[in-house]
Amino acid sequence: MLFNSLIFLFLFLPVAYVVFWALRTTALRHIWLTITGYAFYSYWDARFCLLMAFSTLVSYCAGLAFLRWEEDSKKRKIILIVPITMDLLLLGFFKYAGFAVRSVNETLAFMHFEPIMPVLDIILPIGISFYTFHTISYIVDCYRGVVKPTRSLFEFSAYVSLFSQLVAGPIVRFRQIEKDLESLATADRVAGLYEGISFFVFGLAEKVLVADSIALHVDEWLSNYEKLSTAAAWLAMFGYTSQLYFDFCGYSSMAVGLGLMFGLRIPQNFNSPYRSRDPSDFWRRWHISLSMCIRDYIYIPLGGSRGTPLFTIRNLVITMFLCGLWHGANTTFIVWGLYHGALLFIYRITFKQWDKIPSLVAVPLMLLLALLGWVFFRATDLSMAIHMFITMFSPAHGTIPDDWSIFLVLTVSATLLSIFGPNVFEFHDRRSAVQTPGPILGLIFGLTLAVVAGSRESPFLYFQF
Amino acid sequence: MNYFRLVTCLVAIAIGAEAGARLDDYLSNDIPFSTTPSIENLWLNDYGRLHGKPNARFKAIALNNVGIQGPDIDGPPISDCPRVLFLGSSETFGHPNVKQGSYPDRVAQLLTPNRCVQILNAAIPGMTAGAMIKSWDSLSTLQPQVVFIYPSTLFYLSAKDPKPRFSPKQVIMTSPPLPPQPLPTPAAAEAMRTSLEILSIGTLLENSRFYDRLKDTIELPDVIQRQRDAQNIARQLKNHDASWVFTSVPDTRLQRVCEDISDLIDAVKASGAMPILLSQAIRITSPSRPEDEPDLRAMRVIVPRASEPVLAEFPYRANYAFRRIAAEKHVQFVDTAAELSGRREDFVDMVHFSPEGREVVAHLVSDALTVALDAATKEH
Repeated sequence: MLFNSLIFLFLFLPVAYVVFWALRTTALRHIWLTITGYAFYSYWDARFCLLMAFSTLVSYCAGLAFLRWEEDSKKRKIILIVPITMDLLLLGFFKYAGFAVRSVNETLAFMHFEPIMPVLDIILPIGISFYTFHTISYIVDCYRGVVKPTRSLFEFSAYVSLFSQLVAGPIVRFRQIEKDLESLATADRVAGLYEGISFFVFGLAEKVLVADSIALHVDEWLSNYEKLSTAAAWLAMFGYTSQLYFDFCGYSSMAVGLGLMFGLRIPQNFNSPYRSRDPSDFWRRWHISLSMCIRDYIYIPLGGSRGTPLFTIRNLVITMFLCGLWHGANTTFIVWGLYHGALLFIYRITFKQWDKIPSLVAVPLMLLLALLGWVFFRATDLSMAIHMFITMFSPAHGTIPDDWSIFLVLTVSATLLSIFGPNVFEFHDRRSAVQTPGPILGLIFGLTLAVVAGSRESPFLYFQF
Repeated sequence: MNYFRLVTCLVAIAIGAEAGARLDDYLSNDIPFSTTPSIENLWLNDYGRLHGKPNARFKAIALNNVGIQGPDIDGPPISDCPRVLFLGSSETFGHPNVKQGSYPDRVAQLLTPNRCVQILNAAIPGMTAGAMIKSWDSLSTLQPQVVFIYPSTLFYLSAKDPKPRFSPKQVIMTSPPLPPQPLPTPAAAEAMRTSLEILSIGTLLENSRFYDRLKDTIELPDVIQRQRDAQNIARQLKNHDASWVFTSVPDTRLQRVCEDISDLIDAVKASGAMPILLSQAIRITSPSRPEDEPDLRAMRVIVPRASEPVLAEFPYRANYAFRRIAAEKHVQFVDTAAELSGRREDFVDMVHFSPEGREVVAHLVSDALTVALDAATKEH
């Protein structure tokens, strides 16, 4: 069930909303959020609800154990390691086992040996990367004492299975919505409704009207990437750069909007990343929830930048390697992660000079650097990525498909919108008096509804993670 | 609650939805913003012979300058670029909402990078082999080298008895065709309505492109659909006794479909083209499985005179006969049914192909076409 589907918009969401606000106590609302979360997840594949339930139970019990042994540091360490290991093993099996086997077999084949590992074809449970991150962050925060573990199973399961961010983020830490979860009984329905609808409608428009329109061309062009000319390759990648942003940002806005409708303030996930001046700025604006998590749970515990440059680069390599690996079981994602790690390191050692670059140059430069990284992100394998780079950087006698003019207009418009356009949350800045009038929201919603009603379902790109 | 604001928002949603549907149609399929297209716009009824209107459009379907799908026809075919014509019904015509979504379109995509071939799709939804014979006189003027025939057999189980057998010789004996009678156009129909009718909810919905999209997208739950189908079937059977229903495969109808196919093959051969006959693939098996029940029920609504077992068995019996006819007439036979029938994932309903099914059919057809064209080139 996608957010941009009729069944979600006219059946699931209205029922979930009406019943939620009809219930009067916090506990009942937690139960209902859990039920709706599992109902939403089971629409994809009901079998994997058990996996999510298991992961939830393990982390919840870990929290209780932290409460039980508050002063025993040895036991707390065990409570920290065991459930995280279980979560990582599950994630590792479902997401990376096949990749590991393929990599071993390919390496053996390269060395002219027979493959020894059986080929594994494991179904990837949707959203496993996200809810595993949620449970791990909860365990770590409980260990650090940042968060007081909850005694309510349904409060915790409502947090893990919250349908608005379950399958594609944002990665919400328990501490970020803990207060909202505890005070659900007194949440203001009216205050959240308008703001929530606004976020949701704009997010839906970003996804359906912008991202999906570009996707039609990008997918077709890149399905025949070997035949593209240099100009076509660049246009395709610019298109993908915009498509990925509006797809993911649109989803995040919808997730925020849905949270608001249910009395939960989910943090923003994007802040005009293509206005970034440098790699560090980029990661403060792109997939903010992920970058904060990997900073707090991987980079800083490793030592961060407190040490020699070699020490810093080691930490950056490990962190961005894991970041890339988290995105997918493919060498291309690892290379993408390492690429951004290299950019971050280069910026770290040259920031004095970099910061002097005028924005008129720095912003397009960072956009270009991000685009080059997206080549790896989009490529199905390294050979496609290498081929694309060769096409882009050397004159290629390929073709430019017939729909280039409309694709060019879409891409240029979307790129300009991503750089100069406002973020959805800026419409709801408390300091700003500007609020989108209801009829305008209605008009935008109607436009997206027409496209939703007429098109095939288009999943969000980040669902694959 | 501010009801005025709520109503304004709902009106804005409705306006946005309708405007969005029309804008999307214009950007995707060049459909003019203000028209209300109808599939009837695509055809002319030429005194019993149905043929496409030149340059007509409906949703994603665009007919060429001679009223069929495919590239424009400028003159006779070029010697090294053979013309291939597809005859059939809705399975061959394609879905109106999908641009270039028919299997002939896919055949064109598969073959044209490697050889010059002109693929034309003269299929019309609901067209029987008998109707194809009637249209053959005008289609034969396109001088196709190869003609694929995909028969849709279930129409031969219709409530009414088939019309008298059409002999191709009748075409030669008649005088030049009379001016065609156009089907009522939306504009003409519109002029007949009163201003009150135009403003009625029914008329608004009828002309609404957004409503049209919803109808295509929304699937009723099986429980409700089953009820509706049962009521529909009961209504159609109301004035007939039990003996009216075919409880076993009617030999007369089976014979008729074979005769029509046979006549069509003869007509195509007589014009100098090479016919290739395909068998009709369907989603259900014979005998049917429990999961086939919704498809059979849906088909029974269209063909109420045939019981479900007959609906399941008739295409299989017809295909068996087609194989025999193809052998007798020394015509290439592509057994799409052997590859697809019974495979649920290859169909979206009982007879229409899913994208996966379309891919299989397209590969079978392109392989057969390659063999036929290579043989023809060798012969030459």
